[in-house]
Amino acid sequence: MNWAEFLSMDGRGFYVWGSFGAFAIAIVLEIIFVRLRAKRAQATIEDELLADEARGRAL
Amino acid sequence: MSRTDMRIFKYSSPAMFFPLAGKLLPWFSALAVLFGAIGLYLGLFVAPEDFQQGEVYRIIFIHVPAAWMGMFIYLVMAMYGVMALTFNTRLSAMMMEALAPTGAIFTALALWTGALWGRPTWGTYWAWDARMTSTLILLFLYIGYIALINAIEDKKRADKAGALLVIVGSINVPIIYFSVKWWNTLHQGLSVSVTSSPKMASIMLWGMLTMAIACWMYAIAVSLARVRAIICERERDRIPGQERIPRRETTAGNAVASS
Repeated sequence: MNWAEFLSMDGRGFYVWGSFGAFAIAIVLEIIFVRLRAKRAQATIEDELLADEARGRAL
Repeated sequence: MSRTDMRIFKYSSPAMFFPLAGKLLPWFSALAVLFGAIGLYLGLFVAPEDFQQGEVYRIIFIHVPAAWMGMFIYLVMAMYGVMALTFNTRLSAMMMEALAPTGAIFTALALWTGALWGRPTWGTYWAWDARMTSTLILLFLYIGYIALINAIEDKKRADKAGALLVIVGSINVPIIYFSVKWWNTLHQGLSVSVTSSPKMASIMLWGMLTMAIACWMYAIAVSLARVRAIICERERDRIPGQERIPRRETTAGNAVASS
């Protein structure tokens, strides 16, 4: 089996790779967004802790 | 300070779950990659072409797992919803919030891959048949839940309203599942055997099941990562020491010690 044949999928490559591609893109985007959300949440906590410390509050 | 004690007691569950989720996360991620690689190899390289549909049937290896996950995640959310409403556990509501986007994505992918599979095999991207319409409603339920909990300012009320919506909406899941039995649909029935040769059927089935396990592992991993972010967002000042933020470790240590 050669690659051109594999990619063409009987001439139905558009449907097959359109499916697998959308799947891959969705997962990659979801991982990126979750990481961004976690980073943002942690950064907020750090900022608040630093602000607390600056004010000399003991939580 | 009794008020502080109470707050620590109340938040103990998510705060304790936070480091556990962090420990489990790499394992589920690794399993998702492993099963995904095996599943794609089986589905794209080992499994032979279908004698009726040719190569295009390979969409099954992502379409069916995505559709299963869309339905299953919704049921898991409904279970968490029942727990959130009956036991008033904060983590249950957070898990619902963490699972919803993943369930919505899988449902959207099931519809998308289904459309791309339907066009070459049925001659149409979309039909208002029972299976497709009820799956579209599932997607709307996910979106509705996400919109609802974000529209209500008070988190407690948002959680309750969201849990109620998800529980009521769960009636849709058996409708999706049995739609191909109950009604005459364009969508094919429950059987996954698409070929006369049992050996071919079994390798196709194994490829599909491996991909389903990969999607499971992925869904667990990404939900754990998201619930950690949600715990951070909601219970900012009550999370015990976490490796990445050494400052918090000392602060939280003091809080626990003073209780």
